[in-house]
Amino acid sequence: MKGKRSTRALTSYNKKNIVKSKRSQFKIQQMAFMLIAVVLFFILAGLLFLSVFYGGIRKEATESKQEKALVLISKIADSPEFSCYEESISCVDADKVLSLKEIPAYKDFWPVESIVIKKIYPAGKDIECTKTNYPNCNTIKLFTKENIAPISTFVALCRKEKAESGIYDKCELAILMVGIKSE
Amino acid sequence: MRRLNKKGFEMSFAWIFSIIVGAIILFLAIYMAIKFVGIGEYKISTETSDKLAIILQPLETSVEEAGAMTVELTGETKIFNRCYFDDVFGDDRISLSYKSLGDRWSKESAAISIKNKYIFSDEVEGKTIYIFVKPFEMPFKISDLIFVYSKRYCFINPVDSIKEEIEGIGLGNSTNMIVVDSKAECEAEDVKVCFSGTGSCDILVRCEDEECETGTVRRDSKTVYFVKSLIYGAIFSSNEEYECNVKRLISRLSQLSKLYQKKSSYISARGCSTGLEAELLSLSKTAGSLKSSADLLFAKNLADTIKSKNKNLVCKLF
Repeated sequence: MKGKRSTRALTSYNKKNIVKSKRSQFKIQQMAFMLIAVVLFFILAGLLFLSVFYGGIRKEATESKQEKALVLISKIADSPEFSCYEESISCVDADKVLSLKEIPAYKDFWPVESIVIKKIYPAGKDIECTKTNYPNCNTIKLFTKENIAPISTFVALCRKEKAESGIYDKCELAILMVGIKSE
Repeated sequence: MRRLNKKGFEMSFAWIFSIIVGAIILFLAIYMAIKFVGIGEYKISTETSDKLAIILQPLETSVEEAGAMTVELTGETKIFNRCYFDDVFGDDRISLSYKSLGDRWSKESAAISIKNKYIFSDEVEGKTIYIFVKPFEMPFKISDLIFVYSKRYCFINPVDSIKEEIEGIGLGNSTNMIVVDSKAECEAEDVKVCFSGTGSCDILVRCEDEECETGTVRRDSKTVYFVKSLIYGAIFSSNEEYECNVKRLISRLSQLSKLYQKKSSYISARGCSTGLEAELLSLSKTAGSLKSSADLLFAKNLADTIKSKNKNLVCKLF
């Protein structure tokens, strides 16, 4: 009789404990889920912040490259590889530029991807200048196969010509275009 | 007998768990905040060095002989310029660091590479940066040399050509360079550049001709050689940077000589013969084989010959 009573008491104690333990387990699970949610929230917020932050950096880098190209185009014609004479401004020596095509070392020298010089006056058919057809052509392309580039300025494109009176500089109006390097 | 409190302080697992996880989250948040402040500083200094590189880009002399400009920065800034000669033309890499809160120097910014400029500088630190540009010709224009400095340079009794040039550049510009007759006229913190004697000068220039077209510059017990406007490069930059930039310049001279040689053959076909092809090829080869500033004179002699021949041509090459 005594044994039966004690067994009944023990069972009721176990039941109480089991119920309590289940409630605790549920609470821990609830907290774990909550923590996972908090961590996920922080990760997502962080990712959003990083994408905005780095998106801004990329935009600034592109703007900076564009600014550099704009600054460069105003001065590239005056660099020794392009300029007609030491004292000339915005005058490109066509003979030098055509020679430049044959020196591959200059490929990465300027912070631009491409350089295109197109004669616009007197206008003519779109013929790319090569060693064989020069000067009967109107476009000189450096480091590119494209016909145009986004940033441009007007220049005088000059070359030596022989006339009956002697050697003279023949200058024509041209547009100098540069393409920005994309990385 | 004193009864012990056996109950003590009880903490549930949930509490311990949340404290640990909370601490980790808090630590990570603080760590990220510190990291972002650092990244922000790095971003600002990199942007500034990029802007500086953009400022240096249009510094090209065309009609004028030399030019100068002053750059006012928003705070104390250190500018680092390192020269590398690891490909055909090499490059100068500019980076900077600025004084942030608590007089602490920010982390050095990312380096901005400049391939088509030759920047000569030593220790540049301050709110005002002085830039002075001068073309370098041998025999044709190779490039403009850019000298960047922040300290005041005191030129003691220089040769007339240098004196006139510095005074000329100083007209209308703040150059932070003075020309004096004796060392006593210089301030204690000035960089003293002497043209004679062996006294306590920071830099000693020895000219080998009246115009100071060639000579040597001695600083930190080392001697470097110069020709023409490279004298300022030797004065304004450290010996290592100077030698590196000389190699870069000479390499460009070699490529430009090739370019002029090709131009010469193009114009010859149109009846404008120069007869300079062989000399230009030789200059290109000589320049390509030069090892240091000590060899500059070989290239100069060859360049002078080409210059005088070109001067007498009906159809000038340059």
